[in-house]
Amino acid sequence: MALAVSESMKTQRLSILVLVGFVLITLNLFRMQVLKGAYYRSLSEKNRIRVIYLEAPRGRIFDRHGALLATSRLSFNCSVFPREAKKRMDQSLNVIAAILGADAEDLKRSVSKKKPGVFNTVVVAEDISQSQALEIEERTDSLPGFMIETRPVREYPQAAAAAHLVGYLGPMTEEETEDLDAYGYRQSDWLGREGIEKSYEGYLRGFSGGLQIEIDNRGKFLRALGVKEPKEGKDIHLTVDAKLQSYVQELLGPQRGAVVVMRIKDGGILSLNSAPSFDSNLFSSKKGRKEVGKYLRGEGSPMVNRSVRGQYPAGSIFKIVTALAALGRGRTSGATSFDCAGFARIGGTLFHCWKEAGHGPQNLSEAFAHSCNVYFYNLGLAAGADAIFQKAAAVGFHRLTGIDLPGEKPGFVPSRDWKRGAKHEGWFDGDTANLAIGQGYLQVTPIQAVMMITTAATEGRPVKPHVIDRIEAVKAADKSTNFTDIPAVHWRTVKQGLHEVVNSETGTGRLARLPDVRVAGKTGTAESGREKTHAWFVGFAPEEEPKIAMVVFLEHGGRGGVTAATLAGQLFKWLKTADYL
Amino acid sequence: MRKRLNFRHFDRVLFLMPVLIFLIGIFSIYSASFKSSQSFDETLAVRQILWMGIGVLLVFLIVRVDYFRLQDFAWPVYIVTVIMLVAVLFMPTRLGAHRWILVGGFNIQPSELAKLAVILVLSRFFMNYRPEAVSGAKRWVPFVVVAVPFFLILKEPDLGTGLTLIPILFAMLYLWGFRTKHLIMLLVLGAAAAPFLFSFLKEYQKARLLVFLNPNMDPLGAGYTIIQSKIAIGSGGLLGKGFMEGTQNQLNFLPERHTDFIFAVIGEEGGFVVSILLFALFWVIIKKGYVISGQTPDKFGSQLACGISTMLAVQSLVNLGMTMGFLPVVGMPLPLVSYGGSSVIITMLAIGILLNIKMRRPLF
Repeated sequence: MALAVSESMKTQRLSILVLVGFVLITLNLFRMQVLKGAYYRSLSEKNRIRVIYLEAPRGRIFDRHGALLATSRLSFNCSVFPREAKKRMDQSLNVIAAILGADAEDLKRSVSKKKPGVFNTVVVAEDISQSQALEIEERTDSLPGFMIETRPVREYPQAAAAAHLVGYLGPMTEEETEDLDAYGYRQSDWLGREGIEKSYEGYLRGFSGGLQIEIDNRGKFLRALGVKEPKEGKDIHLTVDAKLQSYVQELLGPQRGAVVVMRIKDGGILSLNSAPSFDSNLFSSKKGRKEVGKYLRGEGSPMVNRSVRGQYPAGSIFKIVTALAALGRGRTSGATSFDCAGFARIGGTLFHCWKEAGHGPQNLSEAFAHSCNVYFYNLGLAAGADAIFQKAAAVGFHRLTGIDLPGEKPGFVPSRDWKRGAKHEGWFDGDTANLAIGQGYLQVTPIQAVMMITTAATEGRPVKPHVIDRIEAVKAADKSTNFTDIPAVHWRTVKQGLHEVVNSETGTGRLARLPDVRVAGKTGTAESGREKTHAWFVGFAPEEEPKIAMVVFLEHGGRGGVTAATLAGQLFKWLKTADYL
Repeated sequence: MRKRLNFRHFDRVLFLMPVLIFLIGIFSIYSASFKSSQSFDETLAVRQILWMGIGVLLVFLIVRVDYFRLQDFAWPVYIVTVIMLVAVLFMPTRLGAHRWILVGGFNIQPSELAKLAVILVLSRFFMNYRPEAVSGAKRWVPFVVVAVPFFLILKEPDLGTGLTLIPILFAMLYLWGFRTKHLIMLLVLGAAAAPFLFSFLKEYQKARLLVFLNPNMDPLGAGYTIIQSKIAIGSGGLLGKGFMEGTQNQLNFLPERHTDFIFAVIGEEGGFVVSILLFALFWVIIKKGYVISGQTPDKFGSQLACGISTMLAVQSLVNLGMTMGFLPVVGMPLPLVSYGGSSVIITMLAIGILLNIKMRRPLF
C-alpha cells in the first residue's frame, strides 16, 4: 500500500498547486472588481474610450529620374461617432450641410445607412476642402460627435499615361478582409489592384497606427491609454522614364495597342504602354469609382494591360523563329534561295505571298527585308513544325517572361502533340506553313516579342524584363540571364536579315530608319479574322552595340511596315535625343 | 478483480458541477450573442445546448464501458487524431487558421481531441513501464507522443491548445515517478528552447505575446481585446451589472466574447459573486479528479484521472488569467463555458471518464 499512499500525496500536491492558481486569480479578480471597480465602471459606463486611427502613408512610386508616378495627398473627411451625436444628429447634420453646401437629407440618409462598430466613425462627407474642414473644426463644440478626419488619397500625376503600369487601389472584399486580418489589415484598407500597386503591395503599404484615448463626458481628450505609431510604406523607384511613357501614350492616341521599350543591358523597362487607357485617379475616390463602371464595360477593354496580357497572332515577326529553326536543322545557310511566284501550293491549297506579283528568287536576307511569305513557307516546311516549336520556346514564347507586373499571359505556340490532343487532328503541312509566318493558332504577347528581339540583339542572351529598380535604397533587380543553345553564327545570319528590313531601300521596315543610329528589326502584319490586320514592329538599336529593344503593336493598325514602323522610328529618334542610344 | 457497473457509486456531485458550470455558460453565451432580430431557437445558446446534450449522452455511454478497455483504444485514437491534425493543415483557413475539419456538415477541431488522445496514450505507457525499468529508445516515447501533436497544433496555429499538452505531460510524469530534479531540468531546457519556439510562431501570435508584456503597445490590435476585457470585468464590481445589462458586452466592445473571452461577460454581468462561484465549481471538479487519481490503485486509471484533472485545471486557469490580462492571450476556451461544440463534447467525455474510474475503482 506504500505505493498508493505516495501517489495520493503526489496528486494532493498537484491539487494544491492548482488551488494556488485559483487563489491567485481570485485575489486578482478582487483587486479588479472590488478595489478598482469604480474606476473600470467609470471607463465603461461613460463610454469614455475612443479609438482614433492614424493612417500610415503608402509608399510613393517614382520613375528612373525621380518623377512622381504615384503619391498620397492628405484629404479631409467629415466623420461622426453616431453614439455621441445621437440626439443632436439631425440638427448637427443641418449645420454641416450648410457649410458644405450639400443636401441635408442626403447626408442623413448616408449616415443612417451605415452601422459602424462602437469605436468607429461614420464618414459623413468625403474629401471636403480645407476651408470647409476648418470651419467644421471650429464649430465642433456645438457639433457633438462630429470630427474632421484626415485620410491619404492616392494620386497619379501621370494619370492615363501609366495607368496599366502603375495600377490603382481598390477596397478590400469581405473574403480578403478575413484572410488578411492576421497581417494587420483593416476592413477599410485599400489594396493594390493592378500594376506596381498590386505586385509590390507588401512594400508600398504602410501600417496604420492609432490612439486609444480616454475622453471626458463632453468628448474632450483626457489622456491617452495607448499609442501605436503608424509605419510608413516604402518608396519604390522604377526603371521607367515617365517622359517617354507619356510620349508613347501621346503617339498611340486613340489607337488600340501596346508598346514596350526595354534596356537590353539589364532588362529594365523604360516604357510599357497599353492603349486605350484610363485615368487611374478615378479609382481613388468614391465619386470616381462610380465612373469606373463605364471603363469596365468600355469600348476596346481599356482596363486590360495589352503589353503583358494581350495575346495576338505574331505575323511576320515570327519569321525570326522560323529562320532559327531552319538554320538549326542545317536546312539553309542563309544563302539558299527560293523563288517566290506570289504563291505556293502546299498540301493542295494555295498559300499566297502578301505581294501578289511575287518577289522572284530570294535569299534569307532578302526574304527578311521583303518579308516574303513564300520563302518562309518553304523554310518552315524544310525545318519542320517540331523545330519551330522548340526555337519558339527557346526565345521565350509559350511561357511567362516573369515580368514583375500582375496578370501576365503565356501566349501559345501550337505543336503536333497539342493538335492531336485538343483537336483530334493530325498536323498538316498547311499548319507548318501558317506557323512559319506567325499565323494560325499562334498567340504571343507584346512583352514576349520584346524578349525575342532582345535575344536576337544579344545573340542569345535573353534578360528577364522588370520595371522595378529599387525599393528605398535596396536594388531589387533580378538580372539573371539564361543562354539559349542557339549558336551565335545563326543569330548573326538572322541579324543580317533584320538589318536589311530597316536599311535596305526595299525593306519593309524602312520607315523606322534613322540617319544617325543604325536600327534593325522586323515588321509584322498579322491577319486576325476579317477585321483590319494587326501591325507589329520589333527592333533594336544601335545595331553594332544594342542598347534598346522595342516592340510596337497596333491592334487592327494596318500594315506593320507603315504604322508600327513609323511609330518605332519616332521612338528611336526620341531615345537618341534623350541619350539612351 | 474488477467490479461490475454499479450506479450506486455514480458520483452525482461530479456530474452536477459541470452542468452548473455549463448553465452559467449558457446564460453568458445568450447574453453575449444576443441580437434582437434573432428568434431564440436561432441563437448560439441553443446550439450550445445541443452540443451539451450530445456530451451528456456520451457521459452515460462511456460509464457503461469499463475504462480499462480504453487502453485498447489509446493508440488507434491517437493515430486517427494525428492524421486529422495533418489533414486539418490542408483545410481552408477560417479566421486565419486551419483549425477545423469539416465532417458530415460539422466543423470539428481535432486539436481538442488531441488532448484526450495524448492523455490516453501516456496513461497506457506509464501503466506498462516503470520509470526505473524503462531504458533506451523507450524512454523518449512520452516526449515524442506529446511533441508530434504539439508541433502540428502549433502549425495550425493554435498556440493555447498546443501549450496545454506540456503541463499535462509534466503532471503525469510526476505521478509516474519521474524524478523532480529531472522535471526541473526539463523545465529549464524548455525555457532555453523558448526563443526557438518563438521564431516558429506566426506574426500575430508573437504580437500577442509581446502585447501581453505591454498591452499599450498595440491598443488597436491585440492589446485592444485585453484592455476591453479588463474594463468589462472590472466594471462588473461586486455584484455585477445584471444579466444582459453589461454595457461592454451589449455594445460590442468585446471581440471574441462568446468564445475565448466569455469570462469577461460573466465578470461584467455577474460580478465578483458569480465569478467566484464559477471558480469554486471548477475547483471542486479538479480536486475530485485528483482525489480519484490518488485513490485509484491501477496505474492506468490513476494516470488518466491525473491527466484529465490537469487538463481542466490548465484550461480554466489559463483562460481566466488571459481574460483578466495577467496571462498572454493564447487562444484557449474556458471548458464548458466558451461556445464551441468540440470543446464541450471533449470536456464532457473527460468528465465521463473520471466518473467511470470512480465507479469502478476496486474498494479494498
